[in-house]
Amino acid sequence: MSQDHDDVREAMARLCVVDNTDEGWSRRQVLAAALAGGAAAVLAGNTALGTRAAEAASVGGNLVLIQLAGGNDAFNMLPPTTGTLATQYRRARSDLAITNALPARIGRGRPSGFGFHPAMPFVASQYRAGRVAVVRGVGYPNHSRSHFDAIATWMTGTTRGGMSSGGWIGRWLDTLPLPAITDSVQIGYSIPPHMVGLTRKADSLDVWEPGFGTSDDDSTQRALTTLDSFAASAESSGALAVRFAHTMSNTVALNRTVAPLYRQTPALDGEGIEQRLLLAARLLNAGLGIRVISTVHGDFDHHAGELGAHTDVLGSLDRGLQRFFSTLSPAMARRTTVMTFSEFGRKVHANDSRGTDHGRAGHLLVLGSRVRGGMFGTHPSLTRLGDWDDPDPTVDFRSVYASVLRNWLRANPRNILGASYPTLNLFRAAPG
Amino acid sequence: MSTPVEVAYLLRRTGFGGREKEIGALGSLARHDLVEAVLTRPTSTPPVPECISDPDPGLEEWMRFELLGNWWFDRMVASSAIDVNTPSPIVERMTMFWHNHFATSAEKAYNVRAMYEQNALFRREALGNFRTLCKEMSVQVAMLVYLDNEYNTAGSPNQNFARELMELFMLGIGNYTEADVEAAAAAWSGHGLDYDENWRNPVYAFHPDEHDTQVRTFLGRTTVWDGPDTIDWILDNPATAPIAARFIVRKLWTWLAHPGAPSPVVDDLATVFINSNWEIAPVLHALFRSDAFWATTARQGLLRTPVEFAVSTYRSLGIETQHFSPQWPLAQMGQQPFYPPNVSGWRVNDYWISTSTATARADFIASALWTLMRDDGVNPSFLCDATGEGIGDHWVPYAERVPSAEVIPEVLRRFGVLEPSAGTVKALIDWHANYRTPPVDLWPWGERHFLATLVLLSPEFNLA
Repeated sequence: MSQDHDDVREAMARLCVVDNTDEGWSRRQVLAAALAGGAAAVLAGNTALGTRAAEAASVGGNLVLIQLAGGNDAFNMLPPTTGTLATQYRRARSDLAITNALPARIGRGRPSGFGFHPAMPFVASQYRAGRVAVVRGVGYPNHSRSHFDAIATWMTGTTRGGMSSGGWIGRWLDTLPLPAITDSVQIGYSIPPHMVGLTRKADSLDVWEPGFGTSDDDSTQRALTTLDSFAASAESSGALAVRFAHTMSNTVALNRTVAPLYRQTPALDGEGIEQRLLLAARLLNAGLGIRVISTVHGDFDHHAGELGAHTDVLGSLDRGLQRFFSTLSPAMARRTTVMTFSEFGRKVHANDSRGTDHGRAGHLLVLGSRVRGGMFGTHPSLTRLGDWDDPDPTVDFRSVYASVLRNWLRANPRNILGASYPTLNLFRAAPG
Repeated sequence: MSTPVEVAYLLRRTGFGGREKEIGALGSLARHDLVEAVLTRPTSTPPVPECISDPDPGLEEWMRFELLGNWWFDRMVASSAIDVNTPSPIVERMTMFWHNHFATSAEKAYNVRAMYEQNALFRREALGNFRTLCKEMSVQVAMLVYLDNEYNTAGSPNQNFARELMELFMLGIGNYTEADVEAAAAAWSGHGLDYDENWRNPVYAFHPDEHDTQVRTFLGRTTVWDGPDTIDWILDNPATAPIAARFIVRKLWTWLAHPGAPSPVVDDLATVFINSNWEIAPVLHALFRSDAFWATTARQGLLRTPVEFAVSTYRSLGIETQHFSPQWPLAQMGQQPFYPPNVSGWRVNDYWISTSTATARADFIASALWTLMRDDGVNPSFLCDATGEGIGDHWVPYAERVPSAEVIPEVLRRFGVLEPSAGTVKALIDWHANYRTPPVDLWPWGERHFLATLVLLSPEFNLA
């Protein structure tokens, strides 16, 4: 084995509490998947509806990203429940500590020593079923604790800063063949940087049915084709005008395709995370070839009055995840993974506004039927805090991205992230 | 002399577009005088809106916010570069700029009087002094609530405001250290709020017992700091003044000319800013007179934000907020005033280009046109019959025999699109000619409805 390979295994052993020397799938599995799928069909960009299942294994799975905006308090989402860590936590957090957590334990296995916030019974039950990986202490070096800077870092997948290189999912989209209708959706009106690449950009939909372009009468149809003409001929007004015109034209096509999804029951009554995840499940079930869906939930920036606010946002997240997985078809459930991310965590001690300030390390949830359940990463120290009351991260977020890119999306992490990162063993099986 | 295209361009960037009579009146001025006329149009302080000065006690807070939002929107629609009895376009535009820069959301600062006071400050100092703006903004109720400085005490510091003051409001990230944040937080401690006995009606109050009086080092200077001193030092410190000047100037260029300001332009405007002791007007004069502002990159470089788009639509269609409130559509388009998405505010251009904002703009147009078709007397001139009777001054006469090739450029001009691409014109002519070809849709208002929709969705109408 090469030296590099040894380094990787060693790093993985440090990072991954669950001892496993496989790198995700065995070689045998990868080969079988490629033969079953037919790599040539993928390269030809065949995106016809319904043929996706046949190509599934070689193409890779689907990803749903949920951004927890504002900096989720990892220590209250997954509080330590036993041992020295629990004592340190409760002392540090005093009356902000969660003491009635739902035990995080896989089946009848060894208790993890942690629990989930009581507002998350669904996630706790999925953890018991072995379908949730919690990656702890995730962050990156030289953290500024600034929302904007941290979001930029997480979304671009690089600590170099700046948006010119696009976002990590966007750079992956750049490698995919152009979709017939869409392959990537942001639920929410503005497309965040991680969904924007150098040449491709995700589409966006909201929880309200789009009326634009979905009427069938002849006059409207004739008018809408004029939008296509605008898109074909606006160059003399500049590149921005052209992009605008193309978006109008593409929007009509997209809206017509997805309109029926808004008329299913139950109705999408509301604009919160529960409705967004319900729509996400329907979009996947529709077999349009969507590979990635991203959305935002929040606010998690609890500098003051954290207990009630955090309970609310975690509770709606939990209910949203329940709706998502109960709506997802069995076929899509075998090939869809959900991942949360947040720009940072919070500090160990509460402040005196009954809240917490920005901290550099957070926990990230990965959920799905192909996920290898368990605790990953090393829990950050609650006592070695440096000058700013803030433990060091123990896992680089790009390791998580690398794992998802290679082992789930079947992409080359080095090309997309610009460097190699040790991967975590987050998946127990290939997308089905 | 300036061409109509040039005047129209300047009026779009210094306000919300130009009406025909404005373009006509200002065309006699050469560029330098044109900019001067637009930027120095006399202005006056508006009276306090009724929803603030004399609120109906039956109204809930969100309703008052709707009224306040429409009060501001109405000011933008009414603003004219030549009529001094209307709001000044550049003042309203800069009010929006500062609202975006010192982003504060009513979602959290849920106090309509406080948000109005902040808006009034932005209007007062729109082309005023940046130092004054920063200092007054910092001790207003809206900001003290939004960035938690009301909870920032010596015994229990809260860094939220102090950090954003440097990161987002004055210097930009990377130009200060964590120690500076800590020192600034200490300086601002004690600047808080007093509430009445029902925990309402907050007012600014300085609480000396909660104010940190330790000697600290902030951006290289060691002394006892009070909040406002930090603003003075950022602007007076030779090490940070140029950084602050470039930071603000870059943002002004992004929002008024195009994103990605060239370095020489940034340097020039920053110098003006510092030399004028942080007066904003001289920077705007220099910006709008610069060659770079009048070059193609700038002219084609900005998309109309949802607010600009909505204001122009209201003007073009002759509709009013009392008949159709734009607040909810603006929220769906992603830019409801008083509700920026977070403390870093909105962005330009591609931020607005997505399938859901496209849908939102189209839905907004449909709702706006529907307003005209209702039977309540709103702009009935929109509904003309084939003889052209009932024509108002918003529309060209409907005359069956006028060829499409003449109707289309005229309609585009009426909507303020003076530089349509040949492709856009041809696409509209083709559609229009086809529409009149039998079998013709017999809706009496169908042609206008589709024509207005297509012009409002054309790429050129959506350029700023």
